[in-house]
Amino acid sequence: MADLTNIRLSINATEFAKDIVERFNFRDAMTFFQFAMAYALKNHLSDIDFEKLDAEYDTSGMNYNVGSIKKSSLIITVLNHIIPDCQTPFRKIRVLMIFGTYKIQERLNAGEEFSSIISI
Amino acid sequence: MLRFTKLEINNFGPYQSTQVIDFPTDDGVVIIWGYNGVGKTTILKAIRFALWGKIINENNVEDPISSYVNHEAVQRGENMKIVLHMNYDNQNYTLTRCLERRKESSGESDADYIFEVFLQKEANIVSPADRDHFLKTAIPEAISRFYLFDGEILQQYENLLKSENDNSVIKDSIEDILGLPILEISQASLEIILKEYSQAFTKVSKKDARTKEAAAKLAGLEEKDDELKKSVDELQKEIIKAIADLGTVDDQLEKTDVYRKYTQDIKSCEAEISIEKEHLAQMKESVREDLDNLWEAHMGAVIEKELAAKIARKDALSKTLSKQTKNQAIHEILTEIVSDHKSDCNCPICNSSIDSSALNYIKNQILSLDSVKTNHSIQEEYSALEAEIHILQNLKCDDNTASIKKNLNIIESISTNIKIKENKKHVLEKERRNIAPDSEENSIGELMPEHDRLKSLISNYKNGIANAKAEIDSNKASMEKIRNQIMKNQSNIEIETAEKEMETCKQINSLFEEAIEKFKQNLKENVQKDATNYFTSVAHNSDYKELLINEEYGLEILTGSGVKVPHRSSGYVQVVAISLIAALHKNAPISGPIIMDSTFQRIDSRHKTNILESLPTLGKQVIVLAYPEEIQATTARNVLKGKLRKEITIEQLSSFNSIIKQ
Repeated sequence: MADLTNIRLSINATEFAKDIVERFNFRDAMTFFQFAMAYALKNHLSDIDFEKLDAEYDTSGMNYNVGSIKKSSLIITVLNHIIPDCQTPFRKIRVLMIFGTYKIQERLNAGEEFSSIISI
Repeated sequence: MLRFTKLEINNFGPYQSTQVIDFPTDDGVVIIWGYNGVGKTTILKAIRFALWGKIINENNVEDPISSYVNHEAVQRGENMKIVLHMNYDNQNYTLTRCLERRKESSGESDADYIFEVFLQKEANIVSPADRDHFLKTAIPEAISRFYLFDGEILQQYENLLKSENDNSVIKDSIEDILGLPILEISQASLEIILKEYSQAFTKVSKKDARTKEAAAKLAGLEEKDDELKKSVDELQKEIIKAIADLGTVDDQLEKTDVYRKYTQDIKSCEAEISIEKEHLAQMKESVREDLDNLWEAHMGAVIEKELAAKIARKDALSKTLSKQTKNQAIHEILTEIVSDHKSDCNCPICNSSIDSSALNYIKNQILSLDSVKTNHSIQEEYSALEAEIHILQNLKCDDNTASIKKNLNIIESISTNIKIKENKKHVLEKERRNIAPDSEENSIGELMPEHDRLKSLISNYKNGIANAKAEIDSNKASMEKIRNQIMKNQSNIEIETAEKEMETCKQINSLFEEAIEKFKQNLKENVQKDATNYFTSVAHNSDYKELLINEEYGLEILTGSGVKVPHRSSGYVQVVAISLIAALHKNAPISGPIIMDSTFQRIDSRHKTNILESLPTLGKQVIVLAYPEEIQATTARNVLKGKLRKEITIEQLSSFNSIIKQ
């Protein structure tokens, strides 16, 4: 399967990201999605079935060119180290962004403070 | 004794249809509870309207009655009615005032209504003249401020204590409630009678040739006396007018000052909000920058974790490789021994003898070491790991989460400050809006000169009165001299009789004057004594021993050592004011219900308890209008016990619909 040149996020993740941007002063949705990706990578890597989720997540939300991801080479380097045989890093990044967003949403909806969510 | 027995309010203020309050017939206290804006003061206004047909607002201006017709009732075209049931000297009276809406009118002005009033005594409607007489006798409007009072009367009393103010209005009111006007009117009547006798004396003196000339002079002086007295009366009228005008200007100035103060406070608030907002914007930008890199902090953690795993693996591989190197060396030595010595020999290291069995053992060891000889794949993995660790170590990711958290807390704190300040500003703006609309900021430029002009005018009038009075005295002395001259020169029985009558009247007048002075003095002493008794029973400061009354009925607090207490707190001024009111009621010739609206606001809890306890002594029927925080309901119940005859609650259903729950 070929890798992506555009990252299309799910509609729910997009809606939630818009809200988060407003509430917590992120510069834009992409900045938040990039945080969500790192959050998922750090906390939920073992829970993620990349192939399955890539197929499951809709693509009706925001659409970004992969060039708009900051320091993508660093991210790909890290992915290459931690995900065996990572042939399609941008597909992985899309899944991580959406998965991370949903997990953050779950915690906020459960009443957790944002400052505890961003804790390392 | 007048007592309210029932109040029916129909479409008045926030009350729709008919709301009823039944007042208990036993002596004691009734508390009407209601939060601000639900219609407590409206009850007071409804009673005032029923009794005197008008409502004076906080600015001493008569409000159009139509403005009190319930807003929704106006929409529905309904009438407004207040019915006050009373008992006076054991007879039942029902006073009804209503506004009947004229057909096809908007209902927005007084002209849109027909005003009706009638009084029923037992089962009969009384004549308008009897109705007016009853109202003037039972509870005259002039003394209403001491029966139906609110914070305003306490404020007026507070002003009474400031010597620089002209307090004739409240002083007159105090004298009204004490029944002094009737004495003063009587004295004025005696003055008229005396004048008639004086004129009669002059008239008969004119008839006698020997006294004719002197009598003519006397008549001239009498005319002058009349003119001077008229001039004093006119000046007094002018003073009253100027005092009223000055009061209006003072009110406007006060409002302007208050308005200015509010405006200043609002501006300070806005400046503070602006600074906070600027700070907030800076902090938000700072957090935004930090959030740009938040992902890196988490990615850094991922890298750290991966790095730690790889370093651990590398360490494990390093140990394996080290073991392999050692085994390789042993393998080489043993291989050398085995290859050089086919039979018994000596060890090349320790020179011990090696027999064939030992040699066989060494051969077996060599075979086992063969299996763990250097594994190139481990070496390769190790090298690869080294390269990967190197790469990961060179990936720089900063952790800025601590800074983000700190700044988020600061943002929250600033946002809270802004909310508090905006709320404060909102409250100030609301309070400023409540000040009369004429209190424009720039009107002070016109008000101050007017204030100074009126002050100077009053001072001139006072001087004019003093001069006129001095002239009256001097004129009187001249008249007396001439009268003596006439008496000396006359031999006329008519003149003698007229003189005797005039002298008798003069003596009666003088006696009455002295009696009034004595009565006033006694009354003041009684008021002072009763106010002191009340005050010392409610005041918590045991060093406050006495209240001392002054000429204008102001009361000073005296300590045990006789020192006047300067700069009393506003709370204590209220306590003193209530003490005066209690004393006035005790000494007043008429008694009736006392209604107190929000009069506990500035009084601390200890004094509240004491004043609550003393309420039944103020009058036979005391009605208190209060909001729940103003007086603790449980305290009121505990303190008043059986004397708390009834509690009534006003509940607001909507802005134009409050109901009375009995």
